[in-house]
Amino acid sequence: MRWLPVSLLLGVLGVGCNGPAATDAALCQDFVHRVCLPDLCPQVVTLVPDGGDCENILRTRSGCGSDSFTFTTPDRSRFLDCRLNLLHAGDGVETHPSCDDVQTTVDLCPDVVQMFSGGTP
Amino acid sequence: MRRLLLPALAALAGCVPVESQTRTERGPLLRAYDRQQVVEGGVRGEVEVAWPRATISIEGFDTCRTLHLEEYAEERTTEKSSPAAGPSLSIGVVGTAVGAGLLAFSPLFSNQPNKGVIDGSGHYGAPPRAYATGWGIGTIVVGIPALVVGLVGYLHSGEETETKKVEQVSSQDDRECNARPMVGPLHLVGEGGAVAEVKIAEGKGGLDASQLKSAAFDRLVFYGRPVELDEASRRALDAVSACVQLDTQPVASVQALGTTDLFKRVERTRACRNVRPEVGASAKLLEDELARRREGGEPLAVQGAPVDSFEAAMAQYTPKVQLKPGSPDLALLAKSDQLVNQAVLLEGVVEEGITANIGVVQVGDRAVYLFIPSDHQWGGDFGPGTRFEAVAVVTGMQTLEERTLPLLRAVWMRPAVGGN
Repeated sequence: MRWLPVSLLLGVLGVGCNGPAATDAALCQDFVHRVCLPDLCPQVVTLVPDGGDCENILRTRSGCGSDSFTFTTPDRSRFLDCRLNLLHAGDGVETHPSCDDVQTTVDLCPDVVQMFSGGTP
Repeated sequence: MRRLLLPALAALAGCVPVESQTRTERGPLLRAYDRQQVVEGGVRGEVEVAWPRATISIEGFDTCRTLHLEEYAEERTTEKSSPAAGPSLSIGVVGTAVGAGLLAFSPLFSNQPNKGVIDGSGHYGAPPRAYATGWGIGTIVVGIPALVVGLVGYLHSGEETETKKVEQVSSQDDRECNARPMVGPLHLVGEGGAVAEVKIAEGKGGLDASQLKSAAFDRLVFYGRPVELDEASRRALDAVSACVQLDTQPVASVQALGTTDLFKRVERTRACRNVRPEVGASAKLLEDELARRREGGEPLAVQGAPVDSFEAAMAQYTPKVQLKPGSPDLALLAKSDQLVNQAVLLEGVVEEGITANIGVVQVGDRAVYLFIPSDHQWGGDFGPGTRFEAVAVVTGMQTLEERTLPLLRAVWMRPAVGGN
């Protein structure tokens, strides 16, 4: 009885903390934006030759520069799973992930790396 | 929703801790008055004897009681307080106001999602309006119950004073009233139970004592209730009982009687003489025989055997030495070792108690220790200053608290005639 108001409050607050689902393009662009925040991790440097514009290069290779982008391979669910590693430092879009988390993503999600390498997974 | 709201509020009201403290103050005396009551009384009787006819009158009575009452005003003040009311009220007011404000003004907040955040499930952050609505509901959920609890506690707090009249009995007077003659069976009762029955009609009944052939009786009982007798009636009843026993236990010769039986017969004869003067002749015979045995130095009984009265002690121990004020025998106390094991008749005044069983007794200008056996049969209170007489046996000299005095062992004690 004593915890009923607290439970109700947390439930209401929980429902109110989520906004609408982001589009595939927005998710992909968020991923690219995070890994391309300076300073680049070594794993990202290998994807961006000659110190080019990291975000442009990766968006172009993956195709998510277009707002009409949709996931095929990997699919949205797989992509979200791989993206989780980059959120350990925070889910704000301007939060730089740690290079260890980037390495984990590279190790566990070669299909995502492939997607940003411009090759076929 | 409304159907759930009222029970929920009622439940919350029941959870409100309210402390209650009651104090009672007596006010001024309003009035004093009397109240009459009639309560259970008793039965009293009178016994008149014209031997062998005994006439017994009994009447019942009630007890008329007058209660003297005093009526006071009494104020009974109950203070109720709820320590939680203040904090609950504060939280409730603030929570409800903030929640209601957030809900009321939520349309003013943007409904656009927070695109600066995309969580792990791929959702944007909630829009500000959703936050406002959520917090508004949350604070109202907390605020309204707190507000109810606070209000209930606040409403229950306060002081109630109840004034009422109380009465107190200051004293009471009892007197006998409604005397009425009784009708029914009256029983003559002794140690072994009822020994005879007398039919009482219109408050009176007769008894032919010469027809009684039974054990002694010493009281009258009417329907299980003892009948109160005045002194004259009690003596008359005892006399009838004594006469009946004398008649039912005749003796061929007083010389053949043992000392104890002789003494009992003397006592019964003395009692019987009150209603049958003609037994005076036989009483004289018995007393002469008793005197003869005393004067003749004949051992009336073995010393040390239990006795049940002062007279029995006198008869059994036949004290030759009299220790009483002015007696020449007092000089013998100077050589009390010569009195050891001799019975004495002691008359003195209790001076003080030394132990539970030994006290100092003043006899004229002499003092002695008196030892009272713990299994003594006599009754009465012999506090300091009590004049008494006793049959005692000298046991020797005794030193107690640096005081050496002759020690006497009491055989029987009784208050002195005219003593206190």
